[in-house]
Amino acid sequence: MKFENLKSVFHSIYPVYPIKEVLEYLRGEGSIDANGEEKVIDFFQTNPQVISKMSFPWYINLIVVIGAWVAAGFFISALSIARFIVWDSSESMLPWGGVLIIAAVLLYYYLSRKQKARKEAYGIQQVFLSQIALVFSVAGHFLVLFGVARPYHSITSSVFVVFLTSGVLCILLYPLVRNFLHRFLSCLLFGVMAFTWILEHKYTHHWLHLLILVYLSVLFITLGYFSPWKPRKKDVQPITYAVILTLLVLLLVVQFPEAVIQTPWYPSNIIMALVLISLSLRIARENHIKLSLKGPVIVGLLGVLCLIVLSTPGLIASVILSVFAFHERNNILKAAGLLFFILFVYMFYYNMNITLDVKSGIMAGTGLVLIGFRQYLKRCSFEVEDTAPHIEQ
Amino acid sequence: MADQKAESNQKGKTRDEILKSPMKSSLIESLYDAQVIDAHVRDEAISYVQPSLNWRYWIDKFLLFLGAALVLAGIIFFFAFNWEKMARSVKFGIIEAGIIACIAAVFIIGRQTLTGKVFLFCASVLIGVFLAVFGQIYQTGADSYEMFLAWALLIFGWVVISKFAPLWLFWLAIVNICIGLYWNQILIPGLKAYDDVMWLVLSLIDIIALVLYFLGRYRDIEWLKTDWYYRLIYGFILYYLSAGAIQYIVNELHSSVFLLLMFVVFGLISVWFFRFKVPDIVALTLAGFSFCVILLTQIGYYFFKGNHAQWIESLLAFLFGLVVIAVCSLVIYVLLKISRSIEKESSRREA
Repeated sequence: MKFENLKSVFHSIYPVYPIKEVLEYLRGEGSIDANGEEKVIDFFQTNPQVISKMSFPWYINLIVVIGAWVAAGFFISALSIARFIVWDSSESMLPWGGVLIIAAVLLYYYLSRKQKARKEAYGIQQVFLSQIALVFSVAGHFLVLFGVARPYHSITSSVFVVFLTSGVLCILLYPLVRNFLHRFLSCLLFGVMAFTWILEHKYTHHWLHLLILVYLSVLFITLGYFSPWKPRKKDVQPITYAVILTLLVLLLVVQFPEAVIQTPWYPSNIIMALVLISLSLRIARENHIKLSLKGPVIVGLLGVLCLIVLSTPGLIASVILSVFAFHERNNILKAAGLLFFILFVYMFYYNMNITLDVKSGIMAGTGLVLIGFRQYLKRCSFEVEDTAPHIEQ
Repeated sequence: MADQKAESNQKGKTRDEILKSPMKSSLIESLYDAQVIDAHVRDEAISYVQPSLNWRYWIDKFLLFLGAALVLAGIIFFFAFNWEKMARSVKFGIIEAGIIACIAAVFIIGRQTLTGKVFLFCASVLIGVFLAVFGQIYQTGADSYEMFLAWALLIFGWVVISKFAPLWLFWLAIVNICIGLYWNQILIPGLKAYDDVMWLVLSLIDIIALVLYFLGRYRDIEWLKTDWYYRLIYGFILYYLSAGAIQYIVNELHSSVFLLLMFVVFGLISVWFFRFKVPDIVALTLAGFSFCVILLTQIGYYFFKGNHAQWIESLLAFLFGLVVIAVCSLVIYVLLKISRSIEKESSRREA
């Protein structure tokens, strides 16, 4: 059976643009001239490792992470069975943890040097070594964090020390290890420990608003908004992704009845609504979307106001994630935004302090309003300038 | 030509090879970082290789599906709350009214439109709600698999005419649940030892669904053009086969050996298919992950079977950690190589 037909369908779904085609497009648009085109080709000829360097898609990264955690577990077990690590004493955990982290940093350094020197693609040896480096780092982090928490008897103090230590490790290791996954996991750990520490304190829950403000400020700084300093995307991308994921995890955790949050959510709702509006306007401007048709814009703003009044903060945050996904042109983030949105809708209705009867009416009513809003949007439409290339899916 | 070869040896790739290489956003960022292009050109190039996601399309679908889901959830909650107070006729009446309303909407809007398809989906869900209510009111004593069987049979006609892949998947899920329940409630209640045959049957049914899906795609059927449908089915097949194979390894259940063999045969065929016929690195990653799990279970079983001295256990744990890294690295390396080859083939095609 000939599968050419099938293949062509798949290739239309995964468009791949050769360098030649992109250069032709840029020349056609008048963005670069023949000289600029030569510069680009010359850059790739003199830096072949740029083309050869393989970026790991998220699903392959998932195997890397799962493999690393499992292997780290066995390494720690091996140290424990051999009595190199004694769980009752931090003196045995800290040195081993420190040694493993240093070994991981050295391995990562060796790998980056080797890649620069040889200008080669990822080979089996590099993949194996980078996997070992991640395993060492995971095991090292685990031992160090357990080691520093061990002497403290109260959970609050232990969590505080772990939060501080994870912060120190994150700040120290970020410039040293240039691996995306390592940086992302390190920032994620720090962010998660920050809100875990606040949640542990019954009387400091209002600090969560400050923490959310910090997360959002970091997000904006890494995106290069409101700042004269525009960071290099590849340098700050792990922070951006970790921050937005931490924010959503925080807002999910506080929904659980066990969290018993003792603070009103209005401050965070207002902060996030302002961020959402400002992010949307900025992205609309960057994507040449004219907001001249007032109807949908006004409805959208009213929707945001309704979210402030009615919602759990997670709903606004998941919309922020979706908008950010459009900015990043990232389908995975888009799907994550959608999943979080559905999850927060579920949590919202679950936590409502009303009878199931009223709840069912509100749910069905909301559903009808959403379907009605869809019909309304279909009638109105935003004007999109044709200056930006645009492909309809 | 000779000059070009010499240049190639000195600098890595020839001009032609470079021009045919795929341009990715990371390459464009590298050009910007090296100040070869300015910010404006970078934005233009990124917009070209990663066109804006079509937000209008996305919002449209999102509002439709979330709206429909909330309406359905509202109806189900309403029933849950008022269950005791309602007369039988009211209970049946409301559900039947819902089904009729959905079908009427399909006739008015048309089953070719997405809204019509979503209404057909809602009607199919309500049939299941109706059967559950029927079973509760009349206490027929029927096994729960019968409800799923009746559900699958009753909605099958709608599934066929819907031309809607999510409804097909929903139907397939009902069939899978039905078989699972039938196996445990009728054939071999309590005899877990024969679960392997159930895994086999379930995987065979999903394999047939997968083959039919690709035949449909081969015929260029428009509504089958979304990848996650077949990836979901493929994931479930791998899950069933892996579960059976792990049962063989861990419980030393020799009757399950054919599941391990089937995993190997199906794995090889599907890897060949997703590598050469329909290149898809996500499906290959699923296969790679299953391979890792089964291989590591097998090795781990041999390592930790029986009692050993403390130092041997420690050594084995350390060695197994290394084996985990080695197996994962190997799979990742192979996947990266294949991913690179697929990209190259695609860019050659585009060029």
